[in-house]
Amino acid sequence: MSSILVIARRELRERSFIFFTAIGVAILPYLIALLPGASSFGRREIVGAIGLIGGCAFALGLAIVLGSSIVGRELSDGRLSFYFSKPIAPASIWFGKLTAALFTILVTFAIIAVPAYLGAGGHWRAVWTMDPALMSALLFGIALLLFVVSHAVTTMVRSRTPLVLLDFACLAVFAGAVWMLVRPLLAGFALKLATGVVSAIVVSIVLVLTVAPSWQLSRGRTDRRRNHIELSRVLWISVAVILLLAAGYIGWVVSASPADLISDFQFDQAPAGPWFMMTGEVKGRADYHPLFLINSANGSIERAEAPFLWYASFTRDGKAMYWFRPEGFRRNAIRGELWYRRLDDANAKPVSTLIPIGARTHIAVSDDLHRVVTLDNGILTIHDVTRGAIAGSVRMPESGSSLYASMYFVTPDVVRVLERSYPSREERPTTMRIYEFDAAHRSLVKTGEATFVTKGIHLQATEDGSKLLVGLYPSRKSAVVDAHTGATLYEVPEVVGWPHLLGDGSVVGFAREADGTHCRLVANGAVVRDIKLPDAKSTYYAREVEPGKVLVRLEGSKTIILNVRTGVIEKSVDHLLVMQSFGAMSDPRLAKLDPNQPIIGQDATRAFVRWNPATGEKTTLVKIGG
Amino acid sequence: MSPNAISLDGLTVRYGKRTAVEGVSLGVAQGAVYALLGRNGAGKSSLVRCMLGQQKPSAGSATLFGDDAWSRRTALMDRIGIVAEEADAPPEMTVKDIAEFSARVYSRWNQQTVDDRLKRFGIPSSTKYGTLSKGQKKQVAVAFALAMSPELLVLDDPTLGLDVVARKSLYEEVIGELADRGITVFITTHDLGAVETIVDRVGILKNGQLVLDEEMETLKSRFRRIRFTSQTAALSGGTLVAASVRQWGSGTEAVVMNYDDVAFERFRSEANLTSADVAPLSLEEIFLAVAGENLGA
Repeated sequence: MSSILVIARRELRERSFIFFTAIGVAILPYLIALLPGASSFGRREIVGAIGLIGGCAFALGLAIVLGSSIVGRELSDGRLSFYFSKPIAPASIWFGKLTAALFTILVTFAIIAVPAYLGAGGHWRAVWTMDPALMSALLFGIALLLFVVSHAVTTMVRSRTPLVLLDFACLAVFAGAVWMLVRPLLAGFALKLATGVVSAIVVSIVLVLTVAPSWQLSRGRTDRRRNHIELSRVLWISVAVILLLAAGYIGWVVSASPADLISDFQFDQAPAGPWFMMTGEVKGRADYHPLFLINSANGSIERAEAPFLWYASFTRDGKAMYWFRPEGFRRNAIRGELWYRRLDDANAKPVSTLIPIGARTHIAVSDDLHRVVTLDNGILTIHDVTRGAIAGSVRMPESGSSLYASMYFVTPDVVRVLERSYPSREERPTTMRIYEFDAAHRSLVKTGEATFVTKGIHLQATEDGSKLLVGLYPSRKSAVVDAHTGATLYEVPEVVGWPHLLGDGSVVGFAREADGTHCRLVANGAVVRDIKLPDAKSTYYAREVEPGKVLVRLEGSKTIILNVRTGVIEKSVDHLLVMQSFGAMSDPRLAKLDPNQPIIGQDATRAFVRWNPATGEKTTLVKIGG
Repeated sequence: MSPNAISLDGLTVRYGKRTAVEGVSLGVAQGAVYALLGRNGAGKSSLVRCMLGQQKPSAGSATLFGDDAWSRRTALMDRIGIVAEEADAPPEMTVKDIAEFSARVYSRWNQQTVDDRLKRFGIPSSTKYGTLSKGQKKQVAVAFALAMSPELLVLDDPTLGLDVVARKSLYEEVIGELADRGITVFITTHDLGAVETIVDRVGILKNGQLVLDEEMETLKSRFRRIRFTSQTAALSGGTLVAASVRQWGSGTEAVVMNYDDVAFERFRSEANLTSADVAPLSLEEIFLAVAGENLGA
């Protein structure tokens, strides 16, 4: 320990001029604040801003300079023998120099930043929102990273051997390996986990680079070439071990089976056919949500190479599943492609449509997935998936990141776009503009619009797309409008509660009254049926399973199929948790189930079961939690 | 029996395909003064670096006082004073700073030794090391090497840049005194005339190989220059072995490497020489005969 301090002291003494330089830099913000015109920006703000920027730049620049010279220069000048001819351990040489360097970096930062902090006074917060202690810790971490990386690079380059090419090759392999490791996590939209894994790899490598030079000097001593060899050896072996550990961890993460799901379950059933997909939170896997594709007819389970449920959907004919697969980042936004898997072929593999999309791209597909429409940065494009070509494209008249759109195919060539602003903080007049783009004729026509006073608009569309239910919040008012013109067909009475659109344009809603929960059916603006439901803690509407028949979950009690036209509960089953049908990405149309297929849900043990309303038979498909 | 101060066993240093030192084995007894001679590029510096544990040999080993120089370097350096061939102290440090630094890392330190020597050679301790002349740097290095009271002093070409007075002081006072105190001295130098009188043993390194390793006394007794007025072929018939033979006026000059009086008398009578002079050789002449370019390996 004493040797470390002796070395550190020597280094500090040799570089004492740096502290005087820092004092000079610390005065600069005050001089700049005195310049004519500075008062218009606020002199204290200038001192705070320039002082911190100067302090950070000085400290980080110093980290690079010291990292590249503190050992490397003595090594290449043949002066490292000064230490090795004395009774000083190599570890003391390195850690002494490291201690001196980090001390110099921190103190010079303090010399520049503290007077700026004091000079800025209360105006500091106006310029910098980050906590000063956190900022210092972050700076220290980055400075350490720059210092050790500079040292490593300099050691390699100064050796002047072809081995440096091997290092570059290893670096390329490392970068590729990290990408390959993180990719399945990104594909699972486990952004926190991916960030955590990358951070852990970076921190581990910084730690290795912090300690490795001790080994380097211990084995390489005054030999420049051998220093390079030893540093590279310990670095790349450590990196390989770190990557192996990361690979093992990621392998464990992505190996999750349905039995590993513990909570936050979500599932969706294909409108037709036996398929459903399910996801949930997995024990110890942070935000990694594996998506499983399950055939309820034969119980087969496979991992869908799709992120969690919000970015995956079934086509309305139930013959394919499609999803957004993230591939990486561009301009700080996640980007990827639209993938699909045919479900009518047991051996079908996931295929990319090669349609590039981002997390904010609006997407809708035709019922058979032959066509896909995307709206990205104001460009509306209809893609022909079968031909792998663009059928048509147009720039929307009003485009921008603040616009939100729902879309669906009216015909294979015609797409209806319902465009409005993203939700705002206050209620204000919000206009929904309705466009129809005909790819065959390259024509974009505004067919209608409707204005509502609201913070935001929630849309549901009938299966044929002819009518829209416009839900406003927070007022909870709603209206059914013509999807082509935007003309209001009728307003939904408030007694209905939160409304759900049925296939024929009528609306069903549930309201809790003093005597219990009521289900009300609205047609043409009038309540045409009021049905009192059995007692339940709460009531959840799932979907329309047949015209006029809705699947409703009465929590704590049972799940029923209610004929809203007659008011009769036609089917009932105990302990079956069913999920509300999601719209498919940007498509607001709620698909109703094929009346001939069973209903998928979770039983009291959270196992996924298939319920056949016709026979009342309930079959367990997937057990949860082993 | 105490171990040798220095033992090299099959020491080999390679840089890629080039061999700088090849299979060198030698021993230096404690208290001896050993001079390693060799032309530039003979491998002396590589050998010294390995001997001091600063560089790992490609093969073989170096031990100091019985301890492996590579693995026990840190502890060994507390017993060894070193004057490096090239000045390696940080140029921005003053002489005083270096002395303070050294005093903290060595278990023994005699500042008086440093002060006396610096004063004698007029080197202000406040001077930055980088601004000193080559000779002054050597003097500082010698002062520091002596201040830590070494059991072994390694001098790698110590007279490089020294003036005549400083040279004389180094050899006659320093090394002579150390030798008298039983301190082992290992020296590499080109200043053969100066070390001739003080070394106990000499090694000559040629093209990385130790071609000679011998007590100085023995070495000087077996090397002789013989001049005679006869054919060169006459020498090859006897038992004397010539290290070099050349024409000398109308006669021949030979440097023999196994001279003794009986063999010489036999040679003279067999060759029927009427005139033959025998003269001892200086270390420099022996070095030239052994390591000179015209002699081959």
